Amino acid sequence: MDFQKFFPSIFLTLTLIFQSSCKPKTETPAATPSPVTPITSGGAIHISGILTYDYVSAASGKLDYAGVTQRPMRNVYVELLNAGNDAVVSSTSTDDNGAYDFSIANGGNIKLRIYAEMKTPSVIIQDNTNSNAEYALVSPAYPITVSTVKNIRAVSGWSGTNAGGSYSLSRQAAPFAMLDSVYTITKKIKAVRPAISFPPLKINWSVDNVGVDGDVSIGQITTSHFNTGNNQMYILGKADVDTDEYDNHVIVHEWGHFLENNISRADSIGGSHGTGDEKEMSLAFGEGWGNALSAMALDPDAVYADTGGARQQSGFRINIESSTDSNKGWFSETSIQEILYDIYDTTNEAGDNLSLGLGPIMDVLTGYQKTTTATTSIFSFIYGLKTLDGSLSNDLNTLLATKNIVAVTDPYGTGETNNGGWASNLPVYHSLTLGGGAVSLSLYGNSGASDFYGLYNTVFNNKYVKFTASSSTTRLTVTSTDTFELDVYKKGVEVASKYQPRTSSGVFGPFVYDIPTTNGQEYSIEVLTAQEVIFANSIVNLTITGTAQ
Amino acid sequence: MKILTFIFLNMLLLTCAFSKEVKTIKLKTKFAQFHKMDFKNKKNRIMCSQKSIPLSFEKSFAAPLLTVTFIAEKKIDSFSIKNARGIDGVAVSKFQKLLNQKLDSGEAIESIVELGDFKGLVYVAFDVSLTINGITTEHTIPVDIGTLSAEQIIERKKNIKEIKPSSQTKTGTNAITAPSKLIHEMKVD
Repeated sequence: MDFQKFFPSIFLTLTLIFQSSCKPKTETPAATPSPVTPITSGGAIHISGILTYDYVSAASGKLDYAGVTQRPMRNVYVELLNAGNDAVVSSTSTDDNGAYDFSIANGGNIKLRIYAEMKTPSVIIQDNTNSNAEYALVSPAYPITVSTVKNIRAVSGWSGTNAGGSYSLSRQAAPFAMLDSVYTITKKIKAVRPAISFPPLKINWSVDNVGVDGDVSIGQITTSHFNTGNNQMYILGKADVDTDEYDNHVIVHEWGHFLENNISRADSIGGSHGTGDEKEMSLAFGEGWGNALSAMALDPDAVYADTGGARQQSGFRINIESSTDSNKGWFSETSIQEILYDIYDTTNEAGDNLSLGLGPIMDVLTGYQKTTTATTSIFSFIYGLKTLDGSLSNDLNTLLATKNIVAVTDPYGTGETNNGGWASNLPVYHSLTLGGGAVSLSLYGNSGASDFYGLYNTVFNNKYVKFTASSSTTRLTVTSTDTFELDVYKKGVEVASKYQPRTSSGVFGPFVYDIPTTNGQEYSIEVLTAQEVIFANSIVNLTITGTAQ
Repeated sequence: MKILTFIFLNMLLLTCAFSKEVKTIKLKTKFAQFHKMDFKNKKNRIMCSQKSIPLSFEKSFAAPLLTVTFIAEKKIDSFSIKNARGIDGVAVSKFQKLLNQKLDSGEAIESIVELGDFKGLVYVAFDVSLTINGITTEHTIPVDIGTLSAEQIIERKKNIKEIKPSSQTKTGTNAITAPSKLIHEMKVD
């Protein structure tokens, strides 16, 4: 029997084991690392160049890979490394041309590590699907003996045509495109108001970021958004579904939320919204502000574009200067964005006599809007602007009239006549007199035939009441026909939140709440409900009375 | 007899497997209690761009069929599901489009699509268009199926590198104890 013929693999294995065990062992000396030539910063040898990224335009509502251009990486943090051990020799930030310039005293092998990071203001693009690792472009090793120019380009990674291509390489340009959009708006604001400083920001992006509501650590970020919880932005990156890295209006819009939340004040309750909606007034203001800011940042490109779909060849566009505004008013984000943009821009149409630029807008946002006792809205913003410069009053009133908003006389919308189709939407603010009569208000909880109104963040489901405290405790007594939430704010800071769900047809209330207050201070109460939480399909009627304790 | 029994059982199995057929239809049932939002989560507000759409969905997957029910959260003048595509390694083998459906709040469209084999976490992207308040916009709605596989996790981590404090950092009393940091390294060719 030919043993090896029938069991060749076993035989071979045994042979190898035998040979291995019988072979005299020779000690292999531990590899000695080759000495690294130190590189000293400063000297006559320059390593300089221009850093660029591939910019893919979204202006048409589709990503135009065929028309890709190179844009400078502006204000980007760069390190010069000793290629022998990756030690940092020197660091710098690029200028507005994307230029960098290092100098070293002696030659050697160097590398460049280009971070998707700005130092001033501090902005970092990180990978939320990989332990928040910061994106960095790393060059090959370059042997340097004399002054050398090294230009580096971050590529889009796209191969082929718009209609038939795909991402076949690393999407290096994406983090730098987002960074550049943020740099554009921060530079524009600093140019008119140099004293403004921006807090640090982290922007989470990944090629796996997709519009699924789930675990953000695997990329399921719901949509591109700003999260007030951790003060960070999340941007979509899933190819053939929805990518936003080149949708620069989207990036600035989300940054606008960051600005509003950090150096101004955002009272918005968030949630689903869109063109033509009648939303809670602080949400309408916040979303309108985001859109308007994107057009201000990218002026003269006033058309908001959001691309997505197969090969990023579909999407939508919104002209911030003028678009369909089917429900004009103080509750319409479309009305708000056009008012704000008209206040800013130099192109004046009928009813628009203003061209103030960004400066006064920033003054109001960082001034009056931040400290108003009312909920942030177009009323508080316009009132703040009038307070800043009374000579603007007539022009502002004329502009507001084009959007069916009456002349603003205070931050509470007093005198407003546009009820958005439901009488109970007015007044914008109810006044509660402590020790006086009850305030009556209605919330539209119905999900029946007029189902448009049921969502929790509409103007129909959010009502406001104001009162001035006269003691350290104010007692609010509330009757209601159904589930409600009552939140009490002092200049935007929540001092009490009461949620009262109705779960049966039994007795419901009245409810008594003792709220800590300061004598002489004005408070704003927001009352809301939603069709998701009400017990019965009906309009929710409430009364509120207040007494000093 | 055994062969006949075998054929009968196989036919029965096939019938069961395909009792749900590939289709896209408007449901007659109205969802009274749909997508439960955070009523008012003030600590973690999501402020998002214009792409937010008033649609929620429910899904179920029984290989090879994925059933997705799109539920309108408010009145949608016209809703079309134009296409369904597989992303990240899954193929949509059968799909039926449905165009220009008017939806009231709580009304729903059910789409059952047939998928090819896949491993790990994949997505089916539904290309839809909506007309609300007279304005038509196009969106892609991804639906996730499965969980990340070990291979996918390895693939995702392949460019992650830890940077340790520089060896040229000062030592002694003026030592700089910079923490290590992670970078997602993108190499220039």
